[in-house]
Amino acid sequence: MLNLVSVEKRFGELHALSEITISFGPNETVGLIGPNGSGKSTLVNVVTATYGPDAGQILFRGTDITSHEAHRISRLGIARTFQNLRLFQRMTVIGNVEAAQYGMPGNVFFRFRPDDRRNARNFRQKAEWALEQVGLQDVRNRLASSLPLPQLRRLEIARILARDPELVFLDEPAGGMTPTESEDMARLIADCVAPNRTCIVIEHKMDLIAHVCARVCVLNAGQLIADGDPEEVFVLPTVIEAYLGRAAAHA
Amino acid sequence: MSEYAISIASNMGMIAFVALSAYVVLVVGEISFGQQAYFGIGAYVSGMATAMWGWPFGFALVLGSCVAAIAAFAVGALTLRLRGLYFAIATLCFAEMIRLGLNSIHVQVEIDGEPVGPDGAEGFGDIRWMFEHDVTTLEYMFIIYALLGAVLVVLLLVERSNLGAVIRMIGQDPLLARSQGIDVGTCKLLVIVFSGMIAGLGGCLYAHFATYIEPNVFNVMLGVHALAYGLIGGLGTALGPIIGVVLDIGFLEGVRAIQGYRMIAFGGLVAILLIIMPRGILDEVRIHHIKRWLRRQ
Repeated sequence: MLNLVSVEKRFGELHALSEITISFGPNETVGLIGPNGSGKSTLVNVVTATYGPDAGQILFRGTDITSHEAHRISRLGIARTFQNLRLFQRMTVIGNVEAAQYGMPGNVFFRFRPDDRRNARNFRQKAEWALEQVGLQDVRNRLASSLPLPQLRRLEIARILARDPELVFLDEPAGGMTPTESEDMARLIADCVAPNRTCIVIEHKMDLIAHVCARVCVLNAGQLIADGDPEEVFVLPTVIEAYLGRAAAHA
Repeated sequence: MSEYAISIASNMGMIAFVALSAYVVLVVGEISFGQQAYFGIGAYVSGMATAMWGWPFGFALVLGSCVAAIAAFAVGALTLRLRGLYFAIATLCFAEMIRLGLNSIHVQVEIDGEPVGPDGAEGFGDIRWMFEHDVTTLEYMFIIYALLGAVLVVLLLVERSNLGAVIRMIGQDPLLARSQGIDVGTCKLLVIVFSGMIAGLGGCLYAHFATYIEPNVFNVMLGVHALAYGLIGGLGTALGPIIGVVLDIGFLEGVRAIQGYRMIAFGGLVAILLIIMPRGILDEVRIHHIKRWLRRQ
């Protein structure tokens, strides 16, 4: 599905990503973890062309997308959420979910033909459906800016569901949430987002990762230091060292 | 209707074009201090078309708007990667370049023994289409408002379309819009070209109403006013800048009691409104509440 081959990203002297080679298969749910500054969000930003890589190759379904622009990558079926929530704050909740579909292939700016009007109705129905999935149907006509954080995170998920992408990056989907809210989010990801698509979850909350991911990749200082089954990866000395320091790894 | 009232109403109508053009750029998330340049280009080109080449008024309007749109395309393409303050400065520099360029343009032809055409800083007089075709100021005012109405209808239709939603998406968060498959660059360019066309059309009307134009009419204060109208009236609907124009020209200039103090009152009004209503009277939130209220009725 997605293959990164020797991908590098530098910011001046800082090597944010060094020689990252990794593959994500169809319908996999993978946790991407690592300490702060390890390069997790940079990897998402590079794949989704927020900024391009300095070296390496990115292949999506066999197509080289290394030099594609962000909107073209999105249209291929790659969607993402953001670590720092990004929503259209001055739009309604349902407006945000409908808007998520406007950039999809085949959409038109004006609805002159009956087909286009049918498309617009489909957008509305899909948005209503997505909001029901995440439990936001009752606040659909409120402005996005009026919602509390857990609901905004759910709105991001609704946006993803409405687009129905093949590959999803969830960047800290439970960031800033209480343990109960995080559990709800884990269930939502496992039940609604993960089925039938490749889902890559970046998260610091290991409970959530353990709940939804069958595979975990660990980044540290821009390098991939572990890749495998969560239970095996969590006890690796290199991973413990990356999180807790050398002393803890040898304790 | 008195000549004074017609003059005020016509001015409101013509300035509304440049206010609308600044508004659409504001909605797409950029601040342009250069819309007066397109207004000026429209004025000069259409004036030359009727006064020098004897073109019909309708064709002159089309030509003036199109040349302004082409200029906007050039500016838009060159500034596509600029954002915020850099975009604002680039548009201001372009506008000043056009104004200073008009100061040195001397293209005149002899008509009935008189030189007609732009004469640098001396300006461009004898744009006499109204007199030659016996069009009264009242009739001309109706032409202005018919065209303004048409532009407003187009803008309101665009706002209801997917394109309108896409423009607002870009204005609110271009990175998010891009990550949802929106070609931000192309859409921005489209909006900038459209804004140039609207301002150019206003300029065409202005030249034929004023009959005399000079480069200094299209100075930066016109652009600042155009921006202020959108910021006063609100960025939630195309009717916002119209409210701004009515408040400034219709009220502050129209009411004789405060004449002479217009700019002081206008400056104060802008400052107060930007503090208490940063996105204007009819901003997106108020428009949302108005729509919900109307739906409930």
